[in-house]
Amino acid sequence: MHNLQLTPIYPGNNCTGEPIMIPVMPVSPRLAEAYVPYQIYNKIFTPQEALKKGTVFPELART
Amino acid sequence: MWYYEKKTQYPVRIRKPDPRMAINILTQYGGPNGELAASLRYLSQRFSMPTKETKAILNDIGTEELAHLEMIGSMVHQLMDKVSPQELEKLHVDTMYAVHGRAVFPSDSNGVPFTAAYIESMEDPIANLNEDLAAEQKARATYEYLLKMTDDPDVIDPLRFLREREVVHYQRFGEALRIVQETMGKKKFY
Amino acid sequence: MDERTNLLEQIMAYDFVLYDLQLFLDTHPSDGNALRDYKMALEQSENLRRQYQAKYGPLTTRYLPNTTCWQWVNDPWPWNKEA
Repeated sequence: MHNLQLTPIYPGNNCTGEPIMIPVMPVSPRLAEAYVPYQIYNKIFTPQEALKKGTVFPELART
Repeated sequence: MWYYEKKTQYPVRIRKPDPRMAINILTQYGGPNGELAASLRYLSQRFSMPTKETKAILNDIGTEELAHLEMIGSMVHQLMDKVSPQELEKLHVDTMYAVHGRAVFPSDSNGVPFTAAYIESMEDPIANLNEDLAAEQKARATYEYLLKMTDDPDVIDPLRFLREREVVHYQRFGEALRIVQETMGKKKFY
Repeated sequence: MDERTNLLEQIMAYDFVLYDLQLFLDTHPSDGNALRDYKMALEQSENLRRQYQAKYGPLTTRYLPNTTCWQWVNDPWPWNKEA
């Protein structure tokens, strides 16, 4: 399920520490907290397209 | 520290002067939701960020905002360049000329000078990041207002670029908030 | 658009890819695909910069091809219309 795809973040030294897994959306969200989906890397625009759109990420482009 | 690069982040080449639009855009230079406020907000808040990723994102978005400040300043300058005082009077933007000439001064469109009261910097990273998310939305909304006030593609293109950057920054601040929530939940610090 | 502006805009495009990926990597520091794309864009940007600076002068003060003249002061500056 898309929401459970995990994004590994490594808060340890130089990316070698113990990973914390951050899911796209929280598995058990808490009240009174704001959540933005954690981005997963996909295809990116060409440099010329990216500059024109204002982002290299098609999923973030609002035109 | 910082080094200067002799280029703007996105091309700014405005061929047709438009002093009224210059004054409208000026609010993104020194106004409440402008680029100067954004840069100072993030560069000040970075000192109290709790994890290495959140320090990096505040540092790097704060730096990018300085490049946006330069783009906005360039736009204001080019829109005002060589316009005669008589023309400014006809367009009712002569009060700005009376105070600053055609210079770029950090104020909003009404001439209210920049103040650090536009920003906050607290020790609490959740409070800071929620402010930053709101700040990006307010800047995005301002760019949308500005886009409704011009039909010059030379002005529209850089404004669209800047509006899109607010969306991307919102995403990154949102991820920074997720990192803080996850790591605080795991009692990694405090 | 003249040749200089065209080359400068190519550099802007690659540097922009680098900056947007930099922000992504700040919150995803171990993303191998983003790191790979960053490295590719970095090589392109450095290559284009070398071409530009040899032809049109310094983009930063860390480029000094001519020890008799400080070319850094030369117009155009980025906020000039002709930039």
